[in-house]
Amino acid sequence: MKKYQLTIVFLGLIFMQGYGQGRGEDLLPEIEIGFKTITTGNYFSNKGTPSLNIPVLNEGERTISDFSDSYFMIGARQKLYKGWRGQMVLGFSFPDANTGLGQVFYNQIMVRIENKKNIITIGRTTTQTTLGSFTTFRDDDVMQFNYILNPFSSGINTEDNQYANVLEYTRIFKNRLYVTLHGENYQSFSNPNDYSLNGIGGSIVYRVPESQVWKREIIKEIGVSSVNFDIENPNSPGSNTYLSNLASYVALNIHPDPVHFVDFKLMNITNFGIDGISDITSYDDYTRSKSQSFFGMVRYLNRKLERPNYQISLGGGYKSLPEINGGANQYVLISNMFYRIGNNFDLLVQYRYHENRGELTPLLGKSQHRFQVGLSFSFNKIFNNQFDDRNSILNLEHGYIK
Amino acid sequence: MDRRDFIATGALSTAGMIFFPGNLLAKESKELLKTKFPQPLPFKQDGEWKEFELYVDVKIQEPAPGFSFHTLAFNDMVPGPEIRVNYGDKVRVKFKNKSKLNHTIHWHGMHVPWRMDGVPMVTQLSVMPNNEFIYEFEAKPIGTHFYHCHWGTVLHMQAGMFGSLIVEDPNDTIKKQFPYEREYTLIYSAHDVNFIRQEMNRMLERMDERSYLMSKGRFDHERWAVFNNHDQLNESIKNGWEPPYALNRRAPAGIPQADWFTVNGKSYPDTPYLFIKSGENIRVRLINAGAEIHNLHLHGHDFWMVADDGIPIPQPWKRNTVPLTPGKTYDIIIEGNNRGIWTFHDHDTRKVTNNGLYPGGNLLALVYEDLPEDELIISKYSGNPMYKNTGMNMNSNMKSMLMGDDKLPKIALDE
Repeated sequence: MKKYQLTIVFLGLIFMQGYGQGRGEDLLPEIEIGFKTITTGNYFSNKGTPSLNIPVLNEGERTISDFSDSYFMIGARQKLYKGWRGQMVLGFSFPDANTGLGQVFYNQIMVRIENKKNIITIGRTTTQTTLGSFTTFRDDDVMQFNYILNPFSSGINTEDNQYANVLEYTRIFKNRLYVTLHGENYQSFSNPNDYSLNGIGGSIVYRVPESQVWKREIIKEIGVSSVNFDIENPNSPGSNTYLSNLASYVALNIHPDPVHFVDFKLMNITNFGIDGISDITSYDDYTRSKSQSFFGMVRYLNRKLERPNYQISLGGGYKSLPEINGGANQYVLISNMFYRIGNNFDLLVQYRYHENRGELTPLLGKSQHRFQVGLSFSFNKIFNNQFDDRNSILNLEHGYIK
Repeated sequence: MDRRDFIATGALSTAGMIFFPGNLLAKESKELLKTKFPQPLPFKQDGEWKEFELYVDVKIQEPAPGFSFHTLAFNDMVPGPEIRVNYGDKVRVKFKNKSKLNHTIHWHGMHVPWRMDGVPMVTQLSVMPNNEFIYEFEAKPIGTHFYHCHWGTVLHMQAGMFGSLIVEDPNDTIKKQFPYEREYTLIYSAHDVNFIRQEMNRMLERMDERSYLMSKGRFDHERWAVFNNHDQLNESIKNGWEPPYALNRRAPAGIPQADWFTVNGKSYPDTPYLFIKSGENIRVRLINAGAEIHNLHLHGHDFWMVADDGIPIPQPWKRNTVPLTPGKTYDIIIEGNNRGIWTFHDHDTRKVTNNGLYPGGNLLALVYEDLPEDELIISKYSGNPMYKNTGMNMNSNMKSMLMGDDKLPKIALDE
């Protein structure tokens, strides 16, 4: 029996039903529109034939046109009584081909209320399976190293790891320390119609607001996050157990210079695993066995006239699964460049090499070289702006206005 | 409370939001009123110089109860303190910039040496964060003038950087013609509070970055968008530099659209009252430090136009409505010849609003101090039989429930 019977659907009914507001002029909320179109030409050169059914991993060479990870979002925010603010976001993205998610995936359908010290989020949104973000083309470019992997996923799409139906509460201390408790319903391949909470966790993150990046503090962000999946215990059929993961992350301002900016980000993920998994015979084994992964990335950002000009990043990751008989590990090297060719418009070039070793080879293939060249156009605009962000300089340094 | 009760309560409180301002003539009210006019700036006599000190910093201003925004304030006040000197005084103003933005001070209407005029890049370089600038000039001409920041004026003026500057004439012809004891200064402004918030945030972020580069000696004219001459500007554009009004804009694309209108930094119901007595003349100095025209109309009176931009009008004339255009000052004399409480407001009623809701903004009142207390009683002189005192308790109770105290004036926030 599940430990959490409170379902997202039930809560949704309570919160979304709403009340009549009486006669009067509706207050037009702030409306935000944002989109990113990222289109690349990808060249793959693969070795090994994976059992995981992902076409771009198949042995051989191929070139494809890729617009995945492009998204469109629309949101609305408005002031509530007693210093609170309410927000809704509706967004969709375009997943990789043949991932079972269709042409369009609704990755954001959520409502959030917040005040100066509290944030409550309900709905489908980005999960706490990663901390911070790395400057790769797409969020999932090194997902096996910088995301806690969803053990309910079939592995053929990456969205299963990034998004879930969440209940999340965050308490903010001194504007910078975010303590979050959360429960999620992760998409389950084997039981897609189960909306019960199947994940629970918490995180503590110290984060310097973006508006204060030029304070030149060495630590820009540091935090830990625990995600625990409520899964069936293979060692005791009929009962459940927790699969626990712990992620830790640090972002360091190595050279916080307005023109020549250098930072370094490092993430470690420890999967405490399920006892008794000693072979990789399926994707479940891969996500549920004990593992340690590290991913680090150094970035140089050149800014010209107070705007990004170009950016070069170099990263590497290593993951080992120590309890797998015969050994299993993988590593990745990645490097990319963004060059600004106009407002919001970037030219992109990225190379990635990924190698799987030992018992991972039958599942994921042996290795892959990937070259990508493309263009990205991203934009966001708030219309009818009527209040400030919690992290603006005015609110942080000159008195917070509710 | 069920849903129906909730709706009913909400409707009642929205339609009938009425508060009670208390006794306008009480000692406490008058003390509070003093804070609603520009505060006099004290000076130190240094030889022949009257030395004043001004500083600027970010401060939260509450124009009306329940709404606040960040401003740039001289000496922590919006408007800044009033500088009052005599004609011919030697004036020295030590200006310290405590904010992280650049500023100057322009002496609007004053005949100062040109290097003291406060126009950045024309008469001086800007006063940078934590820097000082000393302005020195002789107080002339006489009359009602004002000072304001001349750096980034689209933001800095509507963000609060203005104050009155009065040059008194020992042989004031206006005072001789219209003897008066009391005078008031009213400084009008209009604010797009959303523009102020967004642009001030962006400027503060940029200045954090710029200050760092300045401290390292790595700041340049292209980054600042400041050029020695047109040749240098053209050369930069030829080499690929984009002017900020083209593809690299820094400020919001729209022209500010004011949504709050203030008198002395306050909007109705927090605007000041003008007190007068029957038979008394009062002088009112009107200053428009904002970017909107205010068509000011006084009820129940014609007033004398006695000075235009500080310059005495040789043959004053009477009117009851005056268009106060941006940058303009007028002095008017109001004669106390019609006892009562009279509103004095912008007749462009779009500016008698707070965030688009009437009433608000530029709405204030001329109040006779000798108004008998019983004339304030609603039921006593009401033309509406419903409010007349019939001696029936039920009616009194109903009136009390509907209107609160049986007394005028009241504060109405939603008509």
